[in-house]
Amino acid sequence: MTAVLRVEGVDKRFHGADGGTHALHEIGFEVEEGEFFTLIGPSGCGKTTLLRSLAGLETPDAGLISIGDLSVFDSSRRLNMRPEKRPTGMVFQSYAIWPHMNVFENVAFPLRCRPGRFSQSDRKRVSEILEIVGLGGYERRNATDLSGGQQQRLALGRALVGEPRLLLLDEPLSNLDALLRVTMRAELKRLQREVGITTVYVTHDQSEALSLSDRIAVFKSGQLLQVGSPEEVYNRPAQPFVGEFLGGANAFDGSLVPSPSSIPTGVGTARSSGGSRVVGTLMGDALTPGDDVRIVVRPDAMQLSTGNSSGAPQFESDTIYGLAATINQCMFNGSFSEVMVDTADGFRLNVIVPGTPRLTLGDSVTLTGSAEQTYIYRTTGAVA
Amino acid sequence: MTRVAPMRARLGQRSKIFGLPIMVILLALIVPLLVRIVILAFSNSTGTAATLDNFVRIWNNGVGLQILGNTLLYTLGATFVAILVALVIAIIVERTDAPGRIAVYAMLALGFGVPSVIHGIGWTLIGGRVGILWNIFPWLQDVGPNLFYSWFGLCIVTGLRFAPIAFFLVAPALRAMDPSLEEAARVAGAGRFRMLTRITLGLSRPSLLAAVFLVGLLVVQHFDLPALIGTQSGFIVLSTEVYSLVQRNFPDYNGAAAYSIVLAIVAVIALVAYFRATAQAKRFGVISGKGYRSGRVRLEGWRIPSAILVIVLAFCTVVPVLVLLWRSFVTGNDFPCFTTCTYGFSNFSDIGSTAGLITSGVNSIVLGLLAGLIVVLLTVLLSWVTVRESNRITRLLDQLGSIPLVLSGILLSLAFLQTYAKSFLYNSVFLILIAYVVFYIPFGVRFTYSAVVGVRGELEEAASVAGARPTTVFRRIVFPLVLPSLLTAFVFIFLASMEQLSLVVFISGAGNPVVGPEIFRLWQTSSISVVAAFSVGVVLAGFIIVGAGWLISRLVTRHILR
Ligand SMILES: Nc1ncnc2c1ncn2[C@@H]1O[C@H](COP(=O)(O)OP(=O)(O)OP(=O)(O)O)[C@@H](O)[C@H]1O
Ligand SMILES: [Mg+2]
Repeated sequence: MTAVLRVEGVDKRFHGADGGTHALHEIGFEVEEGEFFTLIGPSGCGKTTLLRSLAGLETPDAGLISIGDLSVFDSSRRLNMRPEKRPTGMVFQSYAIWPHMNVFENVAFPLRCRPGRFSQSDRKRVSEILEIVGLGGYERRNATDLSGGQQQRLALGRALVGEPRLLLLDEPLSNLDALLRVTMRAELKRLQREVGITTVYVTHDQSEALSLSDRIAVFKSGQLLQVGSPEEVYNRPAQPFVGEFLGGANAFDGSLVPSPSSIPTGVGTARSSGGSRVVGTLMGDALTPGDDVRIVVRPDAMQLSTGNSSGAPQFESDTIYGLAATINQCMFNGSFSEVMVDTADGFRLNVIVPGTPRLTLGDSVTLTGSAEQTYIYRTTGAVA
Repeated sequence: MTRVAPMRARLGQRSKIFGLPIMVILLALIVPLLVRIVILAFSNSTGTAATLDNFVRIWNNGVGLQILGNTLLYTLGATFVAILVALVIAIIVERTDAPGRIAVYAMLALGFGVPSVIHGIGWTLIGGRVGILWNIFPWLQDVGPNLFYSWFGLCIVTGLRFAPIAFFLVAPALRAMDPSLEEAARVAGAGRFRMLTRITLGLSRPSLLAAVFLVGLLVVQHFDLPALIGTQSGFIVLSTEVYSLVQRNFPDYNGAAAYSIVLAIVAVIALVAYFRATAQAKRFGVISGKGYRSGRVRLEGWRIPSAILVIVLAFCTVVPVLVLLWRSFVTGNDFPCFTTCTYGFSNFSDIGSTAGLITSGVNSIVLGLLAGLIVVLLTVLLSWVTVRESNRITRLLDQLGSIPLVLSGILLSLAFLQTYAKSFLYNSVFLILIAYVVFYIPFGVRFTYSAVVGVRGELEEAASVAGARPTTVFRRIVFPLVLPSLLTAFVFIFLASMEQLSLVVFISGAGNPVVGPEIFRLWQTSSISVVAAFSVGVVLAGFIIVGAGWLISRLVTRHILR
């Protein structure tokens, strides 16, 4: 495997009257041939800025970017290749379909920008791409007379027609309605696999990221927090924020306490700031008793049980813990319910319960969690 | 990872390819003129020493202050009339169900497109010494003409000339107004009249203010009507004083330059006020942009009286043109003549035998088309660079593009005369073309800037990523998308250049005649018959070309852009 995209130390500040924004903090990662690589993070975290820097639409202050064997940006050599010279294709959030050109001309444009005449084979290539994205037969159609989904395919076809080394997608599904988004997501994955193109995809939708990607890079405030496969970032979030953002995880503060010697390695015992006992996987080395920690647990990683009027945990062990809580709110959501509870030690947590539990507000319940799916981080090391 | 040297921001491609050359062109066009005028104003008549004497003279001799006062009075009066007429028409036409909208629009378009000098001559036939009005109302024979040539008459005539312009500035905001805001006032218990004055007018205040200051800016610099009407009674304003200082047997160029600088300073004040008002207009969020059509106020019993009022007002803005049309067919010098007229085409055939007229017509049309083309191309590139990139060059371009707004036509004419008098350009049509270009750059910028802002940046970025060079991005993406606006700008500049009198009054002569000065000179020296016929010909030619332009733009937008 060779890296198609290499990003090293890319740093960017926007200057403004309000002191400006540090949009990218020395970002570095590599994307392999044929990989579907997703940048995810909350709004304003710098995803678009990074993607535009890859395309050459934004100039970083420092760093190095290479695509294939081609160095496209290198601040130490004052090299900044112009967008039109870079081997990239891009789909914009608004699609940026040119309204004064028909479907064929929109897709043909990248080929027309190349030296030499627009040839018969170029014409064939355009038809081929339109066929691939499912717009065969729409050549003469006015580009603005297409539906949202069709415009999206058109934008994709236009980005692919020049056979770029790297395909850049900036929230391409966000303009579609919910149903179409799911269809187009599958379609996008099929196309990417079929064409085999290396793709960098920007989204802030976690289910899109998890279902589409080979690897995911999680961003926050211009910093790259974790890069890994969907399973890795979902199951072993490197920082509390990753868990909170990707799994909608609950997080609360506490401190590490000494564990019994029988406890497995890598597992620790903590006391929440409200005084409850929690066990979880220690994320990061050299965590010692007395450290302030942040405890993260996803809503689907806890069991909720009723019928214990005392409110005390039913069973506990070295790797299992229980929390007493009362029901605050219960939202039925089809195949599952989202339950909001207030724990006895004063935290509000979300729990996902399969089916339709019979719960009333104020019911006393017990939450049971396991060390395997509960993560303990040192507070100081985390990005606020 | 090693820390690398930070990337310093470089000039964008657009600034390099287009911004720099345009900057050089504008500097070369504007700076010599400014330098020349300033040197003139601050030096003695032989040009051997620097002095403040020219300004001190204005201040000391009493006449100068009187002229300044006249200019302010004239600007206030004429602007007031223009805005009042425009507002009454706009509110009734755009916010109520009064009939006759199309007729009103047609008349205002005609009034808008006809050169001021033609308006002025038409008005002298109506209200001048032997004007039609005094023929109809003989008992006013004594006071009428004097009133007409005074400040009062001049303000009425100028106001009616600028009313169509004011109308086209305020009507869009009124049309776009959300009727629910008015309906809310009705529900709250306001009567129709109260609603129109308090709510409708109140809501359109920002665009109204912008119109006030823009019309004020145009009036304060205006030359044609004060020259045709005001000077007859000794009502002198800054622009006509500059003219008379230059036209003397022993021209006082230094004094003229000083006066024109005073005029520019007054204009700067109006311009600053205008920019403030437009900035406020952008912030005024209540006027929604959607094209609501419903919700016009039902006037019921007032429908017909209102319609009559607007039609009469609109008619007043074109009546001088109609009188000239009438006059052009009257043979002989007996006018006004109601029953004794003899009609014929002899005036039109006289056009051909009057030296320079045909040439001036051809010159005006060709130069107007060329100026429109050059200004539109220059300013669309300028706007594109300044909208998309922000650096020292674009900031300078922004300023260069606005400077000519405060340089009145008469100032520029003097500056061109003094700067190029000894060059090969003097007496040639090219000098006039350059003058047109300089003068209309700000107008071109206004049109093209908003057009370019309307093109979403991503459309261009998509082309860059697709492999298009900046020149290709402009040619294939930006240009086709703004083309309709460019055609509008082109037509506007063409029509406006036909109107020019003051801008070319010192630099157009036998070698390079254009219609404005020709009509002016002919009117001063010879028979009104030919003037009338020629004016009618000019208006007709103008509208034929605009009509053709409109057709072409329809074809272009329908076929090429699809
Ligand atoms: N041209 C600019 N000038 C100044 N600040 C900017 C500019 N572009 C982006 N920023 C700032 O940089 C930060 C990152 O912006 P960016 O558009 O990359 O966020 P994003 O992750 O794409 O967000 P979203 O999910 O909302 O699209 C934001 O704080 C934004 O305000
Ligand atoms: Mg974004």
